[in-house]
Amino acid sequence: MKKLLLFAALCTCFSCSYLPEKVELSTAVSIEETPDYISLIPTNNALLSTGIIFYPGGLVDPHAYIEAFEELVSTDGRQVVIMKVAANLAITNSGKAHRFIDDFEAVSDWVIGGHSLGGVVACTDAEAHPDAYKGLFLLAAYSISDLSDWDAPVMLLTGELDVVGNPGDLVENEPNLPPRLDVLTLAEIPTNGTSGQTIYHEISGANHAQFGNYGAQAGDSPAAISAEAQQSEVSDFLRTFFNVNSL
Amino acid sequence: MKQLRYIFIFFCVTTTLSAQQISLNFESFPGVAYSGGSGYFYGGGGLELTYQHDLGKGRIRGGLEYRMIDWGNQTSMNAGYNMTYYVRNAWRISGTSGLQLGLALFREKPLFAWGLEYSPEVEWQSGKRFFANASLGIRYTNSPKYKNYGNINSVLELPVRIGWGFRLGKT
Repeated sequence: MKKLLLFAALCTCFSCSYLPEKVELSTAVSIEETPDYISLIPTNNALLSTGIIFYPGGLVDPHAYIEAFEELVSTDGRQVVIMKVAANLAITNSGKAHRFIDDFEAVSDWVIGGHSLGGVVACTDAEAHPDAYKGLFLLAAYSISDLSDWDAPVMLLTGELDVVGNPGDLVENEPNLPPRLDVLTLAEIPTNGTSGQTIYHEISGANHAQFGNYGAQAGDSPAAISAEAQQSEVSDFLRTFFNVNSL
Repeated sequence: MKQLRYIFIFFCVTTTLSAQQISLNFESFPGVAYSGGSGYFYGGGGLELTYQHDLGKGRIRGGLEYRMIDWGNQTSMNAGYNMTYYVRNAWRISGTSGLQLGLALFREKPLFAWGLEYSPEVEWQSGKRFFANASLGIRYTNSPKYKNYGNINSVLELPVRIGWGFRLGKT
């Protein structure tokens, strides 16, 4: 009986998700929420034809990423769809993004992305449906699916102080992505496009948790920069990634 | 903490009286409506451990449940009454009205969640001790404080349940 209770307690502890931090969104972003996704649409800007579909990190409430994408939605005019996944574990719903991209008629092309475990699942989705996506971005994540021959552009952003993600895993799985190109600044990103390449950029002072807004993550280092600064750099790099690839 | 104490007392009352049967139920939660909208969605799966004993024309029932739900994962203590409608040979048709009191599982602070359910059920008795059961019901679940974090804090689902159990004590 004691073992059963201990097992139940452990299962409960390992099922606890991170709550999102309460945020005040600007009126420039409209939210549509269903049991399957959270869709962010610009209210003051024309909608671009390429949108973002995103898998959250493992055991992170999907609402924690709304503020992180606010700039790309309100300023750039991109629709961002954050997937809701069973148990807040993207691995339970691999391929879910692909089932919903046709629901958004105003968006003709999609870039898929994910944070941490969500990034791994985004790669799985891209491998299964390579023609459905025009690009891929990973936040503190790597690919266990073979995308090495995929001719779409890929971007991988990591945090200098991220100790949740295992650097060894990133190195070990690097061959699963298109050839690596390291960039230190935005200016180093090739302006004629990055198809068939993986742009690697490490954000100085960034950690694992601040790719979203859910407070400190167990095992993570404190960041040396604010969440706003980290997410602003993510937005800047994603914006350039989209622009140079005409997305 | 106070909420946990009341939930525990509630659970003890429903389970300490000579439990006669125990069953393990596998659950699936297709959904039909949620706060602010309606339409089909899949609410996730779950597991329920149930104790029940005869009382009047039916059985009083208590259980522990763990399930996935729109806002992540949830655990609850369930209690209800299972009313017998029809018995013939090894078959029994009944309906359970139940209440769930639980917690949506979040690291910083679990959030209180509650639910109400009605499920018609079919039970098949195998021999003197073992039985199998299946049910399709309707359940409303709400986590009031989750409204501070997401737009959906209540769901209406049609739980599908398949279980196996055995009778305790002398048969």
